[in-house]
Amino acid sequence: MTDTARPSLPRRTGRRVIALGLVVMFAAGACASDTDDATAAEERSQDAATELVAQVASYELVADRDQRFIVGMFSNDDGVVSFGTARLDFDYLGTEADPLDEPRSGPSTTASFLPIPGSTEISEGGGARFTSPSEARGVYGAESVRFDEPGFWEVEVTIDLDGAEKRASAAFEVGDEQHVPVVGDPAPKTDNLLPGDPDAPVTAIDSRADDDGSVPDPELHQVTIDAAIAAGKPVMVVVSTPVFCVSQFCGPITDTVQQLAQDTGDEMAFVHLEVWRDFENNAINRAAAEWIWPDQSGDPGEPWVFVIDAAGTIVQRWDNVVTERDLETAIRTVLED
Amino acid sequence: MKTRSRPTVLLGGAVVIIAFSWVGLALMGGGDVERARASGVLAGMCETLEVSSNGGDAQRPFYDEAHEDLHTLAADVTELDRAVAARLLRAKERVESALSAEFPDEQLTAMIQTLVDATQEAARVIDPSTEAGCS
Repeated sequence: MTDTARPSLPRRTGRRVIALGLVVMFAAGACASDTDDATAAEERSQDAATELVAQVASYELVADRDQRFIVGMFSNDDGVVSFGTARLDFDYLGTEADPLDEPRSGPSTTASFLPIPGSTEISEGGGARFTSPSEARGVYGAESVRFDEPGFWEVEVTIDLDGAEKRASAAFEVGDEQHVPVVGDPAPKTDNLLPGDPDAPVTAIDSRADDDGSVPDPELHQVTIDAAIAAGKPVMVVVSTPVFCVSQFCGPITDTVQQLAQDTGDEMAFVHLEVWRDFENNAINRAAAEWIWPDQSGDPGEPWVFVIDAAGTIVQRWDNVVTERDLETAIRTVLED
Repeated sequence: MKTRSRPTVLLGGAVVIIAFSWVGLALMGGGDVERARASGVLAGMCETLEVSSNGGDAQRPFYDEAHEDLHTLAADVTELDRAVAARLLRAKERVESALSAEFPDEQLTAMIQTLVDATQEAARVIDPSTEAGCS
């Protein structure tokens, strides 16, 4: 198995959304430029400092498909927003070639707090509040969100924080087709690298591997996905790079899957696909590419987690953030089927 | 579906801004935002080092003052110098592992010092005037 050269990994959440955010900021600046009063400017500055910021955390959103939507929120002054629920209202903005003069209302839904693995899940009182990242962090997620057209969309997040209603907006893109395998697709029968493979440096198996060749998560590198499917075993696949993750919402997802592997036993296979064969030379592992960059187009965000049933069909997929509870539920479900 | 009356977002301008942002970052190192972020994360790492050196709980300043922006700094630097970004991310991961495994103080402090050095190296990619050491 060889490597696959690629442009440059993620910032998928970051780049395009930040750029769109800049557009909104420029528009806001243009509106405010009529006022040259210094006090008003200072007040605006203070408002901006305490403003709630939303950042879409989904990696791949496509039109005409029920899918999970996740968004994180924070304030430069007060920390990250955690716990409780948030209301999401979506607007369609049009396409790059054909922007709408006025945004068109789309779906609305309620999103629940999804803690990053290892983070606190529930607060006293149950409501949303600002937390320090060391206390809790995560995103707000809603299932079965459906966008009826590809193009640019905006989400307005409304959340009750300490008794006050706060709002934040973020723009994002919805594609016309998925690139990463979805629920219902046959799982790629990947012949992933295993320890001892003479064709690969050990860090291509896990970026945390020691110089002596040992990997910290041997439970996740015992079998190929192809072999597990051929044996009729359900499989949980985590595509991640524990060292080189640059997502704002990085967490110990590989450790979490490793712990689940230890707890579950041999009735199910657990496989970690390291994203990078050689990070410094920008080479992605072919096995990882088969899952998160199959047509080598766009930006392949990471991490992803997939669950494959005994028939070799993908029955769950999560991008960027998934809770331990969701993983445990998926394992129970796939083993009962 | 009904139409909401809201300010139009100039999507066409997004392409121009994306292009200027990327070209600017590539040609000039970091912009103001990137430089401010690099400076901030370095300050957070210096605070983490000070707390750890004094036998305190380094977890709080690390995760509250540095961790998130370390990711972003690494992403910024990855666009410019992948070897520097790799050293930064390796050092960060070792500190994360040490904190979760409750390593001995001296060992943890040494790892944090390595991460401070890697952060300074990365910050210099964004802003060559970044000063060495924690003042």
